Amino acid sequence: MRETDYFKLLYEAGIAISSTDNIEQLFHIILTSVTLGDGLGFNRAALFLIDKKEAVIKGILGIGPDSAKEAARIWDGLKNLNLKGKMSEWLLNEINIEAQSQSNFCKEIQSIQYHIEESPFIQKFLQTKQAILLKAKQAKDIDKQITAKITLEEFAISPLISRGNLIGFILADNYFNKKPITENDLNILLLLSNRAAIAIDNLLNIEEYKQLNRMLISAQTQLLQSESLKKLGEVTAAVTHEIKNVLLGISGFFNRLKKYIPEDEEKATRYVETIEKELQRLDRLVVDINRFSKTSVKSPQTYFDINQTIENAIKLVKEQTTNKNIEFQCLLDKNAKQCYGNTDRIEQVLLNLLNNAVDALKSKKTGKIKIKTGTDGKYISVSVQDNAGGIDLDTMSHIFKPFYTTKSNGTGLGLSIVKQIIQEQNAKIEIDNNIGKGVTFIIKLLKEKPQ
Amino acid sequence: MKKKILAVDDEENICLLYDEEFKDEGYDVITAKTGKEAIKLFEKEKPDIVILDINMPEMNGIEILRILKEKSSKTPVIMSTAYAHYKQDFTVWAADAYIIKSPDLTELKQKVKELLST
Repeated sequence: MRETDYFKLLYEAGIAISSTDNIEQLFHIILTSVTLGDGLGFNRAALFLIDKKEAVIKGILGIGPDSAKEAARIWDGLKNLNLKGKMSEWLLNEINIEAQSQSNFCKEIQSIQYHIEESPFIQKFLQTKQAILLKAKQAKDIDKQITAKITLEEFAISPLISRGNLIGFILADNYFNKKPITENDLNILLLLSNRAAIAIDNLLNIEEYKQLNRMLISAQTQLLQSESLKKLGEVTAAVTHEIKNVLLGISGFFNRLKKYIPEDEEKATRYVETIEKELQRLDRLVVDINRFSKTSVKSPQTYFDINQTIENAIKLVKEQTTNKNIEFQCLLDKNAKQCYGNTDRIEQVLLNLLNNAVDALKSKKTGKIKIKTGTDGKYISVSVQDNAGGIDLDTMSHIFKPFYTTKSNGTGLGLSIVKQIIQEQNAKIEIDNNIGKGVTFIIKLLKEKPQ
Repeated sequence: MKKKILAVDDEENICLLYDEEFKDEGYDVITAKTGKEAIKLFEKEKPDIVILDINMPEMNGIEILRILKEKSSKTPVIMSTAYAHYKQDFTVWAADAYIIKSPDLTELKQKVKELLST
């Protein structure tokens, strides 16, 4: 090869190298330039990069045939390939990245990884910054982690230096045709390596910035979301509190007004009853929305006695219900009562589940609600079981949706609140729905403070 | 002699409701809309019982409770709140009773009667 041909080669390869913004493609362009018959014409080439953070050298890519037979086939094919003046275009568009990555040689190279302090090559490059010709059998200072994976005889290594920093090296040899590596080959390999190094360094930096940017954007989005949710929760809590106070005034005076309506005024009594019902509904809605909004505000977490919480909840539900046909059965495990979380929030969950059970049993003559506790790995499980006939499949798919209700006077927020609290408490909820018999809600609460 | 109730709530209509309802029951009623006013009336009028809202601007019910109890620990105080959330904390307070605010004053009237008869 004449000197002008070398410069043409460098020029063409340089264009391809600096044109791509895909790091994977860049690796292939570089090593293909080193091995292409119209280029440097090495039989095999491999790329190694230094991972600064972990201080290791990693095999990135190897290009070369796996056997002399395969090598001969490739060279035959290349004889007909006339790339004069079109090499950069060919490098950018025609390389079969997938096929190149599948060779055994490539796989061996990619399995290499070792500490930079174990590398005599790196030591040499730090001193000379030159491409070096080595004979594997004679050389003493050689990276044994590479020769352990691939057989080397005479080979060249060239440093990849970008902005004064050593970022890796290229290894190349003529393993199959044994063609001697000349001084010229070394020089041109070094020149190509310099261009390659800058391109690799640039793209790696861009990748790093892109990654960093992605992380920043996602962190910022999350922050904005949780902040605005918190704000929304605070505003909602304040607004519902105000509405609740207004409602108290209206309902209070409405109750007084009722006393002035004679009982035999049939129409007026009917209107009064309607207004009363609607006022009650509005009151429940306001209380539930207030509760719903407050679940976005963090609650203090402590160890508490779940049995105590369950007993409180049952007592409250019993006080509120007018249905005396419901039997409450309590099977509390005395050895499984310590939980970690917020007892008020958990009590809210239990109240909602128990009230749902009571409402579902409204038309039953003999209702039964069974509350059971037990240990389940790192959780305490609490199950609330009723015999109200279960939940039909269509309803089942909606039960956790806010404002979805099957009750004539419900707000549709009960189970949404349950779900929010369960998530906040790092707890779990399961439903065992037995159509025709009843439904069991099982909540699993953390026994210990999470790490 | 008529028993005197001091009702403290920042909502004017709720004060008015307490006033009318308890007057009907045969009590004397005085009302205050702020903590300051409540403390002043408490000292001047020496009520037999206090109904105290928790959620109030400036001075909240819990602070007022502490001051009233310092002035006269014997006068019973009923704390009232719009929500059941506070329930857990009530046990540690020096209040004599607590109720969840409701337009139906039956429970409150019952509590007042109980506390005044002991």
